[in-house]
Amino acid sequence: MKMKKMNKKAISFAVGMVLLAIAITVFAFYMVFFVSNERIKDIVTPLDLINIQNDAREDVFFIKESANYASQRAVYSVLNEIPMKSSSPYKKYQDIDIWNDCEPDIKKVEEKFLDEFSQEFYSLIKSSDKDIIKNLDGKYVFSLNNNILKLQSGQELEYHTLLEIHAVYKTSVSFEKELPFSLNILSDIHTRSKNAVNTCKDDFDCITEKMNSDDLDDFDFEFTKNGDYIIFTARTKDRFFFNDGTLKYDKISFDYAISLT
Amino acid sequence: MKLNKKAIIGSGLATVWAIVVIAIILAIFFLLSAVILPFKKTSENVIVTDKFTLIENSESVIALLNTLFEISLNGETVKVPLKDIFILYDNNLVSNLDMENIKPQIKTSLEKAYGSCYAIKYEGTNIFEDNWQTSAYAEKWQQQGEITLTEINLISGKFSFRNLFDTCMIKNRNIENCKMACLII
Repeated sequence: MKMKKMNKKAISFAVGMVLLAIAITVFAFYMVFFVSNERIKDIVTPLDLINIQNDAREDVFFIKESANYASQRAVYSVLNEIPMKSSSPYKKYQDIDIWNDCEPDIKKVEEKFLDEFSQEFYSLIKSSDKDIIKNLDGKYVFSLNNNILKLQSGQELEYHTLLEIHAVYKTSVSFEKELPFSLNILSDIHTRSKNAVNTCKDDFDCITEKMNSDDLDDFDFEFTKNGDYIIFTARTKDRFFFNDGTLKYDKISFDYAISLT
Repeated sequence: MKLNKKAIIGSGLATVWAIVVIAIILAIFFLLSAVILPFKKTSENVIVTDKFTLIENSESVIALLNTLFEISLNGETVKVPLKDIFILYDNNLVSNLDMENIKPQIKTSLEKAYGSCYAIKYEGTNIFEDNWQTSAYAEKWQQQGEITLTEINLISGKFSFRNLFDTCMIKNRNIENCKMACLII
């Protein structure tokens, strides 16, 4: 009886071990066939990331393009009607501003530029067919330092993976845009033109020489004498997209007069 | 004592048998895993390869859109990026005659990089006669749905670019073969 009892214990132990092995095997097969399959779906592969990065790159390109065209239109808007430093309405000669007693107000010029830019930029942003871009409406802070336009966004673009384990890819949409020239150049044009007429009077070769310098290199100048005034036409060397009723791609020009007396 | 010895031997043997059985089961498990896992890996690779050929390459298409082309505007020769040429043409800011001069430039530039392995389309304008500038080779692959399509939203419309050269490089991984296939000199 004692022997049988011992054998029974041994057999129970062996059977227990076999059952344990079977349980481990079943569990292992379950993990291989079901759980690992689901794990694969959860992993963010490099390809998912590449696709998301491509989406992000395209969206950032659209935003930068919006800034590009908006800045061109804003430059036109500023040059079309330059804000001047003057408490009272300044004199005009045949609808042309006389720059002897007034000068471009660079602070107001920059404010006007940023205001026009902001309107154009957001208008283009809103024209996107992507909600992620449209949602940036009103989220930017714009600043201007010489010819560097800084666009600081308080929000990043977020791209979410369509996986059970949630992954988010974020990209910054803050950037800087270089303008073709600094708006401070208007102040230089004013000073240089007045000095040129004071020195050269109506000697156009002399005026051309005075206006021909590196710091005014972004503009071409033409002159005509009309009565007691030298009429200057300043024209950008670069072409811009702008809208003066119809869309144009052209150089932007503006006139001003300097009195000979 | 004698009975106890037998019992000990019996339990020892049962333990050995249990270990053998576990070893056999584990061996079968590992063998099966070894057979199944490579299949799983292969099938994953196949998915990866197929996906990879469909991956957009926005960076090169954006570079293409920023490529400068010489055009004549009001008698003046100016360099304008491709993205702006679309706006000029869309809004009739450039004459048809000038556009006829621009098209071969764009074609030459693309053929230099992609040979005959590209197709471009610009939504919103019929800048190219058939609206899909395709090569015969690209067309064949396109019918098989195997060319990467990159779509870029511009301010003025949607630009689509199909690039067979990159697809070829992904599939063949041999630049010389792909250059030959795409007739890139």
